[in-house]
Parts: sequence; structure tokens; C-alpha cells
Amino acid sequence: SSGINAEYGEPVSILPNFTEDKLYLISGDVGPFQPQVPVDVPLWLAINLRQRQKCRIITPEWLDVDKLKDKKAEEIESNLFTKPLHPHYMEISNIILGNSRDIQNADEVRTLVKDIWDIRAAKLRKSVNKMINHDAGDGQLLAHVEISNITVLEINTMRKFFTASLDHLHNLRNHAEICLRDLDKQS
Amino acid sequence: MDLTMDEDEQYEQLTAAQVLGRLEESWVNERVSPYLQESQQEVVDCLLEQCQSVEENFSRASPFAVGVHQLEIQRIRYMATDYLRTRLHKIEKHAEYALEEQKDQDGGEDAVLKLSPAEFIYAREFHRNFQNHLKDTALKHMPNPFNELKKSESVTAPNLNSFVFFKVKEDINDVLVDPREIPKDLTQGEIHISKFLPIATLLDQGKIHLV
Repeated sequence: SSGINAEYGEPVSILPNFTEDKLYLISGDVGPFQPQVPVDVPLWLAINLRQRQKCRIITPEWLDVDKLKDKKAEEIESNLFTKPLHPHYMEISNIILGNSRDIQNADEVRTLVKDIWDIRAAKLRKSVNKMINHDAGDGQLLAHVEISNITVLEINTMRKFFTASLDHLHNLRNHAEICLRDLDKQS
Repeated sequence: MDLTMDEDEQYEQLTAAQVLGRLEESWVNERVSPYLQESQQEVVDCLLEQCQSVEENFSRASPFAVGVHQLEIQRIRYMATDYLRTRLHKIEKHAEYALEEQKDQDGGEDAVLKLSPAEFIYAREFHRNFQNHLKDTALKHMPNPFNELKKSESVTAPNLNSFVFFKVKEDINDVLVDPREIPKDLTQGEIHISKFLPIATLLDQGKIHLV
């Protein structure tokens, strides 16, 4: 879909252990459910069913040990952010791993996801630092930047600090310019 | 049930799922933006109506189905109420500014009414109560000329130059994200940071969404 797909709305494959008819939810059709027949459901439903022990969760194809190892190596090598395996990789892996051990190699997957997160977090700290100290030569502050491969959760870790800092810097700069202009007028 | 929207003289039928997507996007836009966006009251009303009609059919459904539907309804209700809560918070913060902006627009053909009718009434009442409160508790005890609220000084305008993160929904050319630089082309899927004001129209047009 072209809109925002919040993490809990993400479709996930499950193996139900019960039988039920198709459900016509507002967010889309789901089911029918038959024992051991894989079916896609939104993550919030998968977690609820898993907690009630009515299904097992099938490993999402991107949450795979080899894919994660490759991604980690790629992330270490590149100075910039690489495209994440999933735009909500951290949230979804945490939600699934926090509620089940159905994922293959659950422990290794967890460690790899955390490693990737940490590598990206370090890059983010450096980038934020650079952006706030940015000086476009003539004393100009940063007013625009593209930062495409970042995920929303990563943005949220620094959002408050980052936007507040830039706002303050621009504010101070504007006041300084107004003062200088007034001084010029007076002289 | 479909939400029929008038767009450039074409009727656009949206599925319930698409309406839900609209609410999700409006919700995030509202939470992140420094000021009120255009009211999506019809979307909220439509979804809450949907929830209600689903609930009315519970007696005919299996216990399993009822449970799942209830989960979904709770999620949708939370989204809708948090969306409205966020807007109320902004209305209370910038009541006078919002009322002034609406007044300036009234009668204009392309008036973009940020406040829904109910929100407008709330803003007016809130503003009135707040002013009376200030007068009663402090201002009336002060000597002239300090015992009046001057309009231009009492308005708390939002900072429209706050920085926001946004994602590009469709390719757009020649966008002036930074007035000191040349216009840039934005490609679908990119995430950018810039001040809110230069991209506010793009947001209204639905070409970008905040993140």
C-alpha cells in the first residue's frame, strides 16, 4: 500500500490450530482458518492468537539469519544508511520475538537485529552531530537534508532533540540578523 | 460501506480499509505537524459509524469473530480519539490564532476550514473562557492601561518554521524546500527533513506525508 502501514497492521503468516470461517474486518478480509493451513493475518491479530496459543507464527522471509548476517556486513561497510530489510524491522522483530519462540534461530536473530540497530544508531549519532554543526560556508545553517534509508523508530530516538536544536539555532540566527540590521540602520 | 468523496467532479469510492488508511495517515500528520491540518471529521465519523454497525451484528456472530472484531474496533477507536485529542490540544494551545485564521478565510471559495463545526464552537468557548479567566484573576486588579488584553500581544501563534520529517508519496518537481537554494526534485519514497512552512502546501495536497 502507498500509505502508512503501521507495524501492527503488517501482514504476517500464521499456522492456526483451530477452524473458523472467514472474517470480514474493517481493515480487510481474514481467513478462513484451518488447522495447519498457513494464512496471512495482521500482526496485532497474530500476536493475540499466539498469546491465546491458537497458532504458531511463521518466520517472515526477511527475518532470516543469513539475510540478517549479510545486512549487518553491508551496514558495517557503508558510511551511509543502507536500505533496511524492512521499514519497521526493529519493532516487528521485537514484537514477534517478545511473544513467541516460533522463529527459527530466535536467539541468533535477536542478536543480529540488535547489532544492526546499534551500527545504525552510531551512524545516526554522527549524522545528527554533523547536521547540527553544519555550516554551508557562509555561516548558513542546515535547512534541508535527505535521509532516505532511515526507519521511523530511528527517527523517533532523536526527533525531539534534533528538531528542537535546529529550531533554536535558526531562532538565534534570525534574532542575530535582526539585531545586525537594526545596528546598520542606526549607523 | 463506502465513503463517497467529491474529487474534481469524479466520485471516488473508497473501501473501508482505504478510509482507515486515510485516518492513519492523517493521525500521524496531525501528531507531528506544528499546527492543525485540515479537519478529517468525515473520515472519523465514517469509521466510527462502521464500528457501530459491526457491533450491532455481534448477536449473529460466533464468539471467536466477536472477539476479533472487538479487538479491531478498539484499535480503530483509539486511533480516532487520539487524532481528535491531538487536534484539541493544538486548538487549546493556539485558540485565538485558529479562530482568526478561520475568520479570514470565511466566504472565500477555496476556504480550507481547519476546524470542524464542533471544534470551532469549542475553540470559541475555550478562548472566551480563558480570556475571562485572565481578566478575573489578574487583569482587573491592574491599573490602566495594563488591564486590557491587546489582541496582537495575546495571540500564541504556532511555530510554522519547526523542522519536520516527511516522506514523498509521488514524484514532485521543482520544490523549494530551502528558500536559499535552488528548487529540488523529490522522488517517491525519499525521506527528507525541512522546515514545515515550505512543504505545507504539498502536505495539504497529499503529495507527501509526515513521518
